[in-house]
Amino acid sequence: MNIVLLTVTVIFLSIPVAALTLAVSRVGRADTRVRSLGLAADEALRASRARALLGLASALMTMVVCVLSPAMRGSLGVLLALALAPSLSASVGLLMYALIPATPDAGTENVRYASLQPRHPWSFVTTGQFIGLGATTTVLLALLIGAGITASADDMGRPSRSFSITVGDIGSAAGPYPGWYYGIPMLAGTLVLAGSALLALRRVVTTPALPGPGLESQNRHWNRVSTHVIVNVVQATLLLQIAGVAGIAGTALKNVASGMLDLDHVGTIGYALMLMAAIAILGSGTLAILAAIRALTLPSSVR
Amino acid sequence: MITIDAVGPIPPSEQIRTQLAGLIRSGELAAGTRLPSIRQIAADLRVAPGTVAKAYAELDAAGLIESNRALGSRVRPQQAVPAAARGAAQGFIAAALKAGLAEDEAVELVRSLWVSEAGRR
Repeated sequence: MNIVLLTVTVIFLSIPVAALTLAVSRVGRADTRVRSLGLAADEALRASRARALLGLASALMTMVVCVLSPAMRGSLGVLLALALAPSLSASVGLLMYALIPATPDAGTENVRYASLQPRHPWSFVTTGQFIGLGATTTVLLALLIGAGITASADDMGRPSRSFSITVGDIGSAAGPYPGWYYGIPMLAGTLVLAGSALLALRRVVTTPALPGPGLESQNRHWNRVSTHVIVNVVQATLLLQIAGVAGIAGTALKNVASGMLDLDHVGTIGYALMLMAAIAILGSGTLAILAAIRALTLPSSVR
Repeated sequence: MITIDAVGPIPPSEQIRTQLAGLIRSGELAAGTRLPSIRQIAADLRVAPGTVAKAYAELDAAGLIESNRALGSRVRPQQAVPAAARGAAQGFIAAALKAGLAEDEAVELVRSLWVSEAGRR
């Protein structure tokens, strides 16, 4: 059993490491063919990287505040602050990215160009990404609703914070459990995340195209990479929320089952949820690393 | 792609209108082609949205495009110059370039021949 667990752990840990190695090697290859796209285009690319960096820094700062700030932990409670940290921090990062205005025209480009290809916020989202986002959102909603429906009041009578089962005269309860007390704020956080993502995607397509003829393909590539970064951030956040909900719910189910006979099926569901949490957290980490690398190396990848 | 000269004597809205009209007449923008939103073109060209809106309104009034608040702006059908005339124009341009004529000289030649040809018919 231990060997199986060790093998599974090694396989899961190798996913983000492989993704990181692949991304870094691609960055290296891109840097070897760096060439100038012209002053205005280079300036636009630099501004884009600065905007992505600021978004990333804002997201990290919000995450730190949510997790470590005594004020947040005091007002919301440790678990609720942790539950809201992913969606809040990603939303702040995406909003920062969306709301920073484009680089103003320095007045050096008298001849200006416009593409006649209509662009929409979803223009550069691939079918695979749509399916991935839909599947991740569905799983998160199913977990939150399932946990909300099965939750009960805890020992102190606070509603929807615990999981309990009674078989005959014997009852067993365990908490914390992600019932509606955590679920409703998390659903609200996910809605805010969706709105922020839409604003960020809109920001990508309404940003002026790279100035100059012959830059259409670079411009499309720039839009595509920026869109991938945003989609990766959103999906990483959704997976982190899935990991949190599945991990806490799974632990509660396992604890309830361990205290009673004939509840093996509940324990199995608990272990399955914990496995789902492990997979989700690794997927989230991989996507977050990919998003960070893509954002920080954007100018190189466009050239 | 369209371009504007921000410091040229022709107003930007007129530059946008003539280029889009040319692309529609030449058939490069086919019937039913959806045009970008006013905001997108305005952002790319770094002009006020009203400048692009004026060009779109004039194209709409000329019957070249149809604008709908929900569906955006599309090229109306049957606005392209007939293929035979377009082919002849391309042949003339090739011959003019071969003869070393500048654009203005070629256009002037067409104008003068147009007058005499129209008078003959």
